[in-house]
Amino acid sequence: MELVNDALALAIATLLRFQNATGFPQWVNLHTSVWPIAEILHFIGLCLLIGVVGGFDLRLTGMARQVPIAALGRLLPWGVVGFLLCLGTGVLFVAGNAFAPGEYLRNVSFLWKMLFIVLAGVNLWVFHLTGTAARVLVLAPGDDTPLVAKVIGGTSLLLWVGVIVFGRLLPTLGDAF
Amino acid sequence: MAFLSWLQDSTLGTAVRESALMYPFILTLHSIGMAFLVGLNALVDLRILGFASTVPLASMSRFFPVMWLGFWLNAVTGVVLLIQAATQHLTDPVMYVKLVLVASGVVVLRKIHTRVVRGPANLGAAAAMDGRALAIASLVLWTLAITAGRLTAYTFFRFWNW
Repeated sequence: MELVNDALALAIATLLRFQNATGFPQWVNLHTSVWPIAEILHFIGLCLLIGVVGGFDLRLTGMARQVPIAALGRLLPWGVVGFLLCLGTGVLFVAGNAFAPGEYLRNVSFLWKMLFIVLAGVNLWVFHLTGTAARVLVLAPGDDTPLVAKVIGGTSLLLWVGVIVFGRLLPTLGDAF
Repeated sequence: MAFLSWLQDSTLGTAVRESALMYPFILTLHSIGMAFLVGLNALVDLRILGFASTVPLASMSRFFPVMWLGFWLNAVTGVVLLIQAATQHLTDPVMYVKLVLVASGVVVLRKIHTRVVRGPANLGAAAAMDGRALAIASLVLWTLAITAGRLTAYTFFRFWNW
């Protein structure tokens, strides 16, 4: 825990140095449409992410069995687009918050949100590392998915819903805004 | 206006608004419903527009119950969210714009469900074109609905300006 605290303190200090050096939060604050536009893009990104990655995860759990998994997987780059939209706008929020600089890094809901995103990444790594990805890609339409695929798909769905939950609870659990 | 105050001061409205937990909980459910409704709809729209074209369109019909669940979750949570701040939200033109956009998105989704996904196995050129127009309309309408929805958080407080 000391290590986590130290890492966070370092992150906050670095962020504050960046903000002082660039005046980024003041720029965001001055141009009042930047924050709302970023929020809109963040929501669009999350819908793309949940729709494409979530849709793929639902297929992994065995829903919509007639959908060929390999073919459905070809839409995943759109999920990545959604994720990148969220990442980019997310960085803007963290770096550009003039109201309370460094706020998010001290917000417990934000930290849980970041942890869940990391865990979703680990889950994806497990998907590939265990060979589950290779196994599901050769399934024919109508085939059920192996249990490990169901677990990985279900875990991914829970994690990304968790990300939405912690994001929504930023002002409540933590002290954002 | 008196009706809106009555709604807002109702037992349900007051309970949600004054509860530390209920309002965030209901808002969170609303976000989750949006993510699955709009997200899965976007997935189907992308397929209709030709991405991952080896996925048989009809096979995606099993995703629709999840979309409809998302819609109904949002209809219910949305009504509660409107009631608890009725005097602000229901006097806000942007909220009405959002509701019209959402209704339009749902109408287009229904058309996609019945005509395109559940349509005949071999769609003629005209019907396929029809599908593409619906898919584009769907993506545009949901983008605008999300935009309007996000903006109600500002027009509600009335301090946001261009």
